[in-house]
Amino acid sequence: MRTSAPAARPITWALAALFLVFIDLGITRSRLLWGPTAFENTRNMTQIVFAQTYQAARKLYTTHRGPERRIAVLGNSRILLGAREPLLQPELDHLAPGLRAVNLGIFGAGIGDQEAVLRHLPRLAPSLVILTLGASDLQGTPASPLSGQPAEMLRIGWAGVDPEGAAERVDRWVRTLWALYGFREFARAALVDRVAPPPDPGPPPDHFPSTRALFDHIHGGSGAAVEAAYRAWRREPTLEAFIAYLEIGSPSYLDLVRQRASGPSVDEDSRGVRLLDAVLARLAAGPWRSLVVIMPENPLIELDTGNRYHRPGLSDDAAAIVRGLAARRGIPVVDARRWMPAEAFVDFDHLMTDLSGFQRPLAAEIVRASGV
Amino acid sequence: MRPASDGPAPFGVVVRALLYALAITALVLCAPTAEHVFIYQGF
Repeated sequence: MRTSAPAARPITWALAALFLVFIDLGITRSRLLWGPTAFENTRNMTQIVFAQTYQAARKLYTTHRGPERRIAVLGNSRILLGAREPLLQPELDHLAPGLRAVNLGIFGAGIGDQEAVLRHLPRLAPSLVILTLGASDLQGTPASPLSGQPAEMLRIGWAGVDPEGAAERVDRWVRTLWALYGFREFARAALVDRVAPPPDPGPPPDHFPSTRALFDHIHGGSGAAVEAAYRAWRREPTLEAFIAYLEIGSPSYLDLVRQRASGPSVDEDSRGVRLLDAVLARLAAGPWRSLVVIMPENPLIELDTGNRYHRPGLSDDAAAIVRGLAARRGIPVVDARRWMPAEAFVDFDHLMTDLSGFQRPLAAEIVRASGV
Repeated sequence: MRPASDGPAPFGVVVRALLYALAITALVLCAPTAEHVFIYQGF
């Protein structure tokens, strides 16, 4: 009697499944996937969101569970630049040793992206989770979408928050069950990096001694021109001089700001607010303390009487909605919108890394919220 | 010697299973994903 063909024999497929488990573990639990790469330090603005999403995933899945209490800080470029770990950690060590900051900020991450990051947080097992957001993060525009690449790369779980098709639902389920499938984009990039690493500019410096050093890092060869325009604004602190400074180094940022100024309003029925509520529900359900921080805004925007660079009332409306929704979930809110002076900002949203000193008041809030 | 009709030797099954697992891994890693064309404009 002839037996079944080898390919159809159950033992062959059972063994293949077993091998798949080992291959999966060998890739997704090793330095092959999570070791240092060159691509993650890219300065290319078309790749930087993917690179930072990879870094956030690495922190979620490889941060050592030592005796310290981990503080997860979620947000976008506002927090990634405003409180990088090398700046925030010394402040925490000074105020309350035993707390470890894990900054999960990703450039351009919207509130829908935070919802996806939150689904992975149990892996990090933080004792405190801080959601940082700007008022305009609830708005959603083409240049600053509510959900983007981080949500796509990190989507797991049995139920989604937005309406989705069958293919998307199955994709999310398989990502949830099979780590190699879930991290396949990162694994592919990491493997390519191991075989043929691109030029590595290295991570950004931990400290910037001056605005010129910061502008050189951000703007490369045009750092001197940006510094000159910035100095001109400091001598004559008008909105026009600030815009002239931004036009030299950050014209695409100004496009983003103008989109927001003419973008949608934020109310209880906005998709951004629904996503925020989903985030707050997930925060409240977790085995951790939670805190929402509404990030500092450049007070210079108050000089924008023509409403070319901001939507009037949006900030206060969004802050009121955040406070109301958070109160329903029992989550405290720190409104830091007026914390910092105009000279602490690179633009209307981003604090000067290191030079702003934002890490100090934030560390104090973290210590207060952590209950130590 | 084992008759051919008994199927491959155990070693052959293991090699075949390993090849299947590697092929599935390669398929997963090479599978097309959603193309994101997003240019970060924060700076």
